Amino acid sequence: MQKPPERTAVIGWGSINPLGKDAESTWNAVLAERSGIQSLNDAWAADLTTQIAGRVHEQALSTLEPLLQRRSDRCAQLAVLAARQAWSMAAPFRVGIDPNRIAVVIGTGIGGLATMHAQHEQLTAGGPTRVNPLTVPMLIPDAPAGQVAIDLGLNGGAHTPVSACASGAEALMLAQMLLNDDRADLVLAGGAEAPVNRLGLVGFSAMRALSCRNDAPKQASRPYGQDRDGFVLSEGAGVLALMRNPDVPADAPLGWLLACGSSSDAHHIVAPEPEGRQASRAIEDALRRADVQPCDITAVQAHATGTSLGDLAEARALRRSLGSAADQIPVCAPKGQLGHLLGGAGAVEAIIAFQSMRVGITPRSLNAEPLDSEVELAVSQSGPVTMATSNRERLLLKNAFGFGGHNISLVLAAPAGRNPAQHD
Amino acid sequence: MTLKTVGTDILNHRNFGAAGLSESLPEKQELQGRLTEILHRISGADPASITPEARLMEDIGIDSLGFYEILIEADTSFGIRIKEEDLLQFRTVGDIQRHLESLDIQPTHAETP
Repeated sequence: MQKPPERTAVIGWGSINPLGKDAESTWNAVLAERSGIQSLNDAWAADLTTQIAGRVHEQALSTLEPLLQRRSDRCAQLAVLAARQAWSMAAPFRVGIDPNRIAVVIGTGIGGLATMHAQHEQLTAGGPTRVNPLTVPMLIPDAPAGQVAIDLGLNGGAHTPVSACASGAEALMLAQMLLNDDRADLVLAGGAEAPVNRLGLVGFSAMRALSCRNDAPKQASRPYGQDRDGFVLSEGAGVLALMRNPDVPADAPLGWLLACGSSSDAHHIVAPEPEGRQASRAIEDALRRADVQPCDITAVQAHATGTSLGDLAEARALRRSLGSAADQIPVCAPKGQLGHLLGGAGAVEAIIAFQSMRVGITPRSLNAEPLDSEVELAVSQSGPVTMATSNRERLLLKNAFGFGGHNISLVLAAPAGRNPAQHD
Repeated sequence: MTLKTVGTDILNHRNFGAAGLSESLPEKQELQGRLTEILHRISGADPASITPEARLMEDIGIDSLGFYEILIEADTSFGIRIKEEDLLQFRTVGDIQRHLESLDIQPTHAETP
């Protein structure tokens, strides 16, 4: 028997990604319709088919303590930076909470890929004695969660969902479960990824998943676009601070995670089930758990990565689950600006979704124009779309899907008419 | 996790004897400076605290994995392959310094990982 929905309050967030070093600068870049994608001019990329990616500004990473830079992979570093921001923003609401009751859930698709790559090179070039003793602790996918727990002194459990590009969104689902199961009173949850290196690019290129639009980086990521040719690899992390709604003051939440739905394709390790039937099940599971109807949804934030098959499968799933309401609901595909942060995508994009609801704007879906004629959705291809102003709060459906056939859908809510990035 | 003990590449030993650390040859100062830099990188400790008397674990904060980082750094920076049984005998910064001096190795300024 299903319990009545218990909304989870969002009381802080942190983000570091190719568009910005924090959530506020990211939102400003979203509104300005900037692209986070750039050419890779590094020598190691010179012979690659794909020479574009989304990168975090090095200056943002250099603020980390030298020892943490030395002893953790870039993926964990990004997670720590995002978690510190969320932790700081949540400061007024975490006073008096026992660290034993604060959990960490940081998902990642791959984990310490750069470390694996670098240490394999060390092994090949220098032999077994040159391999760093921190190789394993740096590359394991749970390192970001562990490093965040260490950094902030949190003892309420550290968890790592690994479901490829659904990991960051799945972390939010797990966080909600931990809170509702009374295993924690506060959870820092999100995702991180740092795949922009030779091995990462070659690996995705070999399966023909990446855009090869090297001569036009800012136009390369084209979710739902007619002439899309694959996704663009990006790096970054997003972390949200979550508490049970009754535990925080009524005006405290920046927004709410209403419910999470999930399903698995059981179809193919990377290809989505083309009709999106299981993706629909995840969407409908989320809507049912949130106790909302398609007509209640203010906007959709799509997973849409810019691959030929994946975008169509999701478009069919959304059309099936939302029915005729899909004619009107604006759909934003944030990866047109961000690129694909893999395990970091779900959380970084969820923060943008909350910000968009708070100001009532569905951002433009960059590069979606001209739209694929098979995509029967109201994609915000031409510019930002103003959300309805009459509602007391706005609801947004967010998808995140991953290799392995993982489907996660979230129903998010936010009060209308607030500042997007700050507590007020 | 156990690392196999590696043989030393060092053929030409020179013994400074009791006066070893007190000598102030330029190459010794350079070695001391390089060692301080390496230990700073491994531990994050204030370079001023990395004195010959400082204890590696208690004063500098080097953990068990950090000991094995010393092994790699000695190899990449000095071209020295420290034997694991020697490594585990080190208690202070001075112990490492004396060991390196006894092997009569010049810093190679090789790449650092």
